[in-house]
Amino acid sequence: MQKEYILYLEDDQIDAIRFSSTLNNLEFKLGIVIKENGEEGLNWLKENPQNLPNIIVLDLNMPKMGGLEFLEEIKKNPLYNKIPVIIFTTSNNKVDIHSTFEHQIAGYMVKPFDHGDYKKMIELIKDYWDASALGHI
Amino acid sequence: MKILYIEDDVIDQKNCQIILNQKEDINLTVVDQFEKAFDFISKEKIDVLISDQRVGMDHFKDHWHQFLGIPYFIVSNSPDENLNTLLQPPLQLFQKPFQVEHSDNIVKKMESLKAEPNLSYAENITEGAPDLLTEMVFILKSQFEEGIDKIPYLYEKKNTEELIQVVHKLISKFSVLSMSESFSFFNRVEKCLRDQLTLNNFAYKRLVTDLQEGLNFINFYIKQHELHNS
Repeated sequence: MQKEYILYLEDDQIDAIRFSSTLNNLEFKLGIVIKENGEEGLNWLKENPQNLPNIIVLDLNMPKMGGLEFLEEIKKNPLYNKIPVIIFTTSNNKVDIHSTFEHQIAGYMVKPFDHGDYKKMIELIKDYWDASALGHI
Repeated sequence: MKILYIEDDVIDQKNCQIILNQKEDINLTVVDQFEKAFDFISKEKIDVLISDQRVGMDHFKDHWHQFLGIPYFIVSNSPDENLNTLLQPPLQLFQKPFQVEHSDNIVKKMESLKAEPNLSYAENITEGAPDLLTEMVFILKSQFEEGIDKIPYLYEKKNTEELIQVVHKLISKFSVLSMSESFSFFNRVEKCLRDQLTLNNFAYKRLVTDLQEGLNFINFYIKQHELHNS
């Protein structure tokens, strides 16, 4: 059985490596499962009902099923709708930001250029988890 | 350095020409209308644009997107600070008349923008995992090659939707290569395309040249470190 983990939905291999390597270097206690799009993410949730992720980190632009469509699906499902979702994307488009917050996301983060800022953003996810009550249940 | 100067006042034109022609390695072209500037940059590559804020009845802020990807400076009797809020703001606003110190500032600013691609970040985050670094490098290579291949085709076919996706996916790769100007440029192109703004074909050419610069470095890195794609 998977220990506590982040479900990270990202179709880009470089971004996935970057995210997981940065998490590993921060010695984050949560594990990580990476899926390439919303459809694979949904299938993973359906196949692991007894071991759902503790946080979902989500890119928006993915093939087959994008981040917004995935978000709509999980938010209407009582089994998944309480899992905190953080959007992690290169898009700073206002429409994207507003439409995702309308689906009660926990946060929206724009991937920065600067490597130090990128690491700080991942640390924020870690700190959010460490500080939140969900992390101590 | 190839500079294009947009100015309809003959005296101001002459003043700028005298000052910039004193600098070595500057190739200056002057035009008196924005339309002539668009035409010029669609055919010839320039390094820097200097423009009056208002040329005839036209204001630069209505045409900035046509110069997307070209670093520019504004020279004006009353420089408009609001230009700094544009998606691609001017590098600097100068009060007329154009002076020697302005030309020095332009040269210094352009020097500061030069940044060599590198993979130190990727090396850092994959430390202790050379296979992972190799994997990253070859994925980058493949993505850049695909971008170089797809962008001209999508531009020619006016397939804006797919072009947006291709540009979007490449943005973060420039971060991995520490190519900050390219990162910003690709970001701006994506935003302009989503806002359905007309871009000069210079911008599309620059998408490819920036990718080629990244790819040249990646190929050099592969050769230098004798990496092999498993």
